Amino acid sequence: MSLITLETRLLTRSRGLIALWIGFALLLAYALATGLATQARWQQAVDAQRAATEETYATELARIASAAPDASGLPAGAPPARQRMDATLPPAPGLLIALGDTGARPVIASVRYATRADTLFKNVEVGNGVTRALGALDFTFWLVVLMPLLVIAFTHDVVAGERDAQRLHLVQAQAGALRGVVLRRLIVRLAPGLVLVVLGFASAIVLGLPASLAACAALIAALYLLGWGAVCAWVSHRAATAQAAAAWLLVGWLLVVIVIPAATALAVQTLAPVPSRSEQVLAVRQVQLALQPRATELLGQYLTDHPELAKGGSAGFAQKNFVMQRETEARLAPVFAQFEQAQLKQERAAAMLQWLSPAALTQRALVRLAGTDSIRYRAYLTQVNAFSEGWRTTLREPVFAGRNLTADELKALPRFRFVEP
Amino acid sequence: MSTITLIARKELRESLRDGRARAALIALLLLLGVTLAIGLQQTAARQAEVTTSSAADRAIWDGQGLVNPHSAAHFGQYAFKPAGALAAFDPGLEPYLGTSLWIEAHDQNFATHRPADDRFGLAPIDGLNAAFVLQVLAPLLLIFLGHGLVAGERERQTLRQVLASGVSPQKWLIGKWLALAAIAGLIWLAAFAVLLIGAHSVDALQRALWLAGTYALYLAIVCALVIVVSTHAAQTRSALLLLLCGWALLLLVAPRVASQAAEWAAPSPEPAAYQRAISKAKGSYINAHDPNDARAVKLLAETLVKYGVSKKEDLPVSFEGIVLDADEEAGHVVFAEMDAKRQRIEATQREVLRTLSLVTPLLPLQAASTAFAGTDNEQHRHFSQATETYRRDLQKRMNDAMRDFGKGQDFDYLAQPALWKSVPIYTYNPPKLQVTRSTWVDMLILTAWAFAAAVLLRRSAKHLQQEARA
Repeated sequence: MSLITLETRLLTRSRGLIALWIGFALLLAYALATGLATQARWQQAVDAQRAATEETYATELARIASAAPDASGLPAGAPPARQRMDATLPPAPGLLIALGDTGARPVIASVRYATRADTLFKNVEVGNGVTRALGALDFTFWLVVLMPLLVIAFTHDVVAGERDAQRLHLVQAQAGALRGVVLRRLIVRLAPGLVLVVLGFASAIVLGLPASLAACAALIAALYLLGWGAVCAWVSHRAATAQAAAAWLLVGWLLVVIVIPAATALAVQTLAPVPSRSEQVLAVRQVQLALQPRATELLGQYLTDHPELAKGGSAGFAQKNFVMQRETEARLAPVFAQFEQAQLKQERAAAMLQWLSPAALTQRALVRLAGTDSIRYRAYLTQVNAFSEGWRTTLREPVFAGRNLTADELKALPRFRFVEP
Repeated sequence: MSTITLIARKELRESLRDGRARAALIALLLLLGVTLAIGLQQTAARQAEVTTSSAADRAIWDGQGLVNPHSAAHFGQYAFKPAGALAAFDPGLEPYLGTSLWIEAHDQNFATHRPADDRFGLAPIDGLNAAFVLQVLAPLLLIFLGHGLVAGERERQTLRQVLASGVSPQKWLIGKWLALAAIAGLIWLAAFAVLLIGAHSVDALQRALWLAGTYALYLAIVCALVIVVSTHAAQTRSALLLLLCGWALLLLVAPRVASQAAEWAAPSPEPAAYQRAISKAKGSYINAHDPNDARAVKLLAETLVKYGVSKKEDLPVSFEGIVLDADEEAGHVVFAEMDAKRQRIEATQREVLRTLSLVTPLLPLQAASTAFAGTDNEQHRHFSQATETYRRDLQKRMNDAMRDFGKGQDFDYLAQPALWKSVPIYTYNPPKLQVTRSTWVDMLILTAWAFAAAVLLRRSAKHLQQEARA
């Protein structure tokens, strides 16, 4: 009987290990269900918002179609200043396996003619802090935090167990060099974990995870678990007893998975803090306060710079508001740029420190692959701001002309479509 | 010296003789010290920021110059939320709840700028703070130190000798528990000595005492469960495996499963859907900014009758101020309804979490801990409600000014700066500690856990007695 067959039989006879494996399989199913539910909820929110917007436009078009011409005999129309369009971020392609920042960042922006980069979202803090604070059990948590425990349980005694039973020399004599023995035993003992990972990714593909993304993520997951397997074998070889090996491995797990990543996150926040949000709020308000009495003057300046817009309507609220918001945005640009720079600095510090813990590294890699990190979100914000700029360009002429949009113009208003980076 | 004390002293001495145990204990105490120091520094910085920002925002409000009252109402003010009383120890929900709230016309906004939104997801388990050290890491240390207390005796085959010597198994186990509890007590003391000594008010002292009591109960439960498992395990190895599985399951997995279960049972409102619902609800009430709104037209007719005139221009007041006030009043009804719905969802989620508290003691502990630290949902709601009360008063003042002085000018009327200064300064006083019914329930569940642990400990003693007879 080969060593691999013997080892497999021994493993399948251990009720404790089988129960543990089943427990992990159930947790995997739960983690995938969490991903699936989050994905469905996100998609539902996006679809509902798009449907609501289209319904609003359909109602407006119906109103225009049935309304009588205005006092000057022109056909009825829609006020350009009141038009708004949503810019939604679709669910991340790998949401199923990594929730990442989901829940922390709003995914439905509302764009109007006067929207600034800092007013794309409002009142998005609706959710319950309790559930967010408790966290979620997603596939990444299952893999990064819990799976090493399964690997430790299966492999901590790969050598030390034989030493405990005083069979090490016997095994070596029967099965050959120690390295070969350890390698074969390790393959068998890592197999249950790897099978679960493969099962997880296969299920995720069936549930809609792109195969290429799953392949990359599976490679990262396999490397992570193999790394833990190698460490377990080394510690098991060095430790006096299997119990000592288990203790050392668990201390290592605690440091690598919990303490070091949490401590580095704390260090990043403390050493490279982002500027105060309160100061940002005050900066916005000081700019608004300074500009408030200058609305008419600013509008005059703007019309001098854009004489093609001066021919039309009166200097009403919409025109003043347009100019004021553009001026506010221009003045605040350095404040927000400073904030973004600080965030990038913090992100760079985090990227450097992630190498201190393979768990943090694996988590970041999976979250990046899944598209639930800041990179995809930043791309979304860039695209929304570009869309917002286009929206303003479209509506600027009717706003300054003081005229309503015709039904054809209303139908032709641009729609936002997110392009994956 | 009693038998129990003798056993406890012996076990404690033996546990601390091990260099690895000492190193682990010192590492944990250091971690606790560092997290407390960072927490205290962050809380102090937050308090200072709230004070300066509030003063600066008030100066901005006062410095508005000649502005229409409704423009001022839209410009509004900002309310900055101070840190919870003992946020340095347990930040609780604070990272996940907004810190600044815009007080403006027509809208009851949510507090924005949640600290967690500006953080990077570097850690699989986020939020290293003093409470986390006591809630999650201290039990792990107690498992490492205590898993072999009884199973080790069995493994070394000294258990029968000890029991044959005539010592009561119950006293023997209590002695073992006391030894482990003494180590837990050391960690507990380190955490709460800082809080109790640093308590700057009676309220902070009361909160620290409640926290100390709650954590003492929790650590006592953990110690008891460790001894129970060690008593029933055939070997130290199996005791360690079982306890670690239990630790991971109860303290890492269960809270996450519970969180998701609560969201499945009662999904938190989705922001865009919530805003659509508000807009829809507001659509059934008066709209101050739509002169063709039927309810505004009706209000005008009623106002004309009230003042005994036939035309809007003949009114002795500005009708815009009246209609804006009616709009605000309608908003109060809508926001109250929506808030009530949201609170019902949160209550259902809380019930689900409470039911699952029977599975893990961490859930009732966290609920009680955040309540005592002043970092839970209730504290946040208190801040939101206090700010809303202020907002309503502010809007009323602005609309009244428009009504009384804006005749004939309406939105072109510019109020004098004295109006801004006449508005009371926004001051928020966080509530003093009140142990609510909800917190009592959490404490009761935790006490039930303690009772169950004590019963299991007693049964373990009987189990040992039977083992000795066999």
